[in-house]
Amino acid sequence: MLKYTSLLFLTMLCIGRLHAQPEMDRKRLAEFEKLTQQRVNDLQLYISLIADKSLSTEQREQAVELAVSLFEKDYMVNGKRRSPYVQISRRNGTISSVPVRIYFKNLMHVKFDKVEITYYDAAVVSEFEKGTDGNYHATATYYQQFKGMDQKGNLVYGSRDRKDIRVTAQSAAVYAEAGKEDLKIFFGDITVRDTVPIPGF
Amino acid sequence: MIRFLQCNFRCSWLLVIILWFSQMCHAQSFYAVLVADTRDASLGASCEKDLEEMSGTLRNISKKIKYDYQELICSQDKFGRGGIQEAISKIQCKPEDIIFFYYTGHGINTPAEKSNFPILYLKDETLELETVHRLLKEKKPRFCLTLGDCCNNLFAGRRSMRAATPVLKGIGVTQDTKILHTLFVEAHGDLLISSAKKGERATAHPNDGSFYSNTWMQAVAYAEKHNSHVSWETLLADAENRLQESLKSLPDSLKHHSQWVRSFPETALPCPGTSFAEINRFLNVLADEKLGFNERNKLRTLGQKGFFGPTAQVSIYMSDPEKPVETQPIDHFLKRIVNTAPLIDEFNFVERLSNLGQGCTYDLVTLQEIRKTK
Repeated sequence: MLKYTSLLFLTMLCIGRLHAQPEMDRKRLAEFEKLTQQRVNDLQLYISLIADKSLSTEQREQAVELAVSLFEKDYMVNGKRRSPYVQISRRNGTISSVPVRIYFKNLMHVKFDKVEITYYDAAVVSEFEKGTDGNYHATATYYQQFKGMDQKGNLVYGSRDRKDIRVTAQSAAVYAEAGKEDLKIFFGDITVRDTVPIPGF
Repeated sequence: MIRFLQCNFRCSWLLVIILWFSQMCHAQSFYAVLVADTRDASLGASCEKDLEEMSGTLRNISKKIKYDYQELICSQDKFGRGGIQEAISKIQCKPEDIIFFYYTGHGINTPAEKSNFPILYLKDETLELETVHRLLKEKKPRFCLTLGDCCNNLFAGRRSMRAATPVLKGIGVTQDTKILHTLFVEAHGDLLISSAKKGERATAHPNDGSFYSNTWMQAVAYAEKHNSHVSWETLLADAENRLQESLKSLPDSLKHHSQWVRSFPETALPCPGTSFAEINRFLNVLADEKLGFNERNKLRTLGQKGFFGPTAQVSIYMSDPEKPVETQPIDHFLKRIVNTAPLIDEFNFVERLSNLGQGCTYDLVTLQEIRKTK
């Protein structure tokens, strides 16, 4: 029994070592932080494009697909699979969570004649820290202003949100299509940290 | 016995001296004639920068191709027709030598002038760039390159320098000399280049130098660092692409285009249609937000089939091409750059780390994506 337990223990140790993330130097991690910053800026742009009703459907749908591709497919929570979600602040002051793809699809059909989503203050990405799961984790923060207007351009609803994105950098070795990069960046849930009405509204 | 040894020792030393001396006598020379209007009130500082950078670049090139660098500078009180003629007269050219003439300063042209190339405006006197080129060719070097970075506008009594966003420079340091060898050692003939076509004005930054000179040096540096193949035609096409990238924020009336004439035939490249210059240009056009989405989207689908295999992958790096940060399928990558054009400054394609598949299309593309600074 002891022999089998030891053998099992050694096997688990080996598997753990095989799948463990190699320690990455600070300079290399900084490159992935810079990449994350770029992808956050991309996401901000995609959100603006998706919401802009003056653009063609083709461009807006391309932006939806590109935005969705930034996020992890799903992840495990307490043994259950779930999709990443986006928290949104509603007109009645409540905050709700919507799966990422549905959020972006809904954004294309928001019930305002004109929608303008812009960003104030630069997006910030924290340093990557290694988690107990062996992956690296960071948080990206951006500041979004939403304006919904009527046909005449009058403001119907507006808000300013501070949003946090959970960012995970997983070992690229687990992905069949990986190239020579060490890590693969994925966005997770987007949560609303703070929401205020826009000035004058 | 001792006398024999002494004699042998002396003979050996004599042989060494003779061999060294003969080496010095027969070393090939790289003559660089650098003319800069460093005293001009508006252009002076910019010309000073051009002079410094070009001198460094040419010195570096000649060192790598193992040529003896001979520099003749015409600036300050040597700037002028007399200074240039004196410099040219000092060139003792042998058949295997290279002559490189570079001018940075004011230039003009006139409706009566037959040449498309500029006239160098040397304060109280002028000198046609083509005349300089002819004088240098008469020295019969193996390769003669004449480069004039100056205005080429029709004389209208007004010459000025425009302040604009400085161009990124990337002078690489690499031990690989294959590209420089192809350009400078294997070339036979002559090449005449100007930074502006007839009727156009060139651009310069007050402190960072002339736009075209910077993009020319950048093109050489990137080709040296990133390419497997090169020809003067593709290099100058790349320099021109980079020039247009650097000028894209300016109104059309202020843009200028380089031009060149070569006497030697174009070097045959494995896949000329998918040269590094063509790939760079294609990617930078897709990221040009001045063009509408529909136009760029159409170009994307056409270009994707022409340049890349259907399952091509794009490997993106930040600082080291050998250490990418991301790999994307080509379809996804091209759609992304069409949509994120406002965020992108330029792309640099690394030919030597990219793989050409069947039918002259790439299966793997390695490149650097440079974002605009906010």
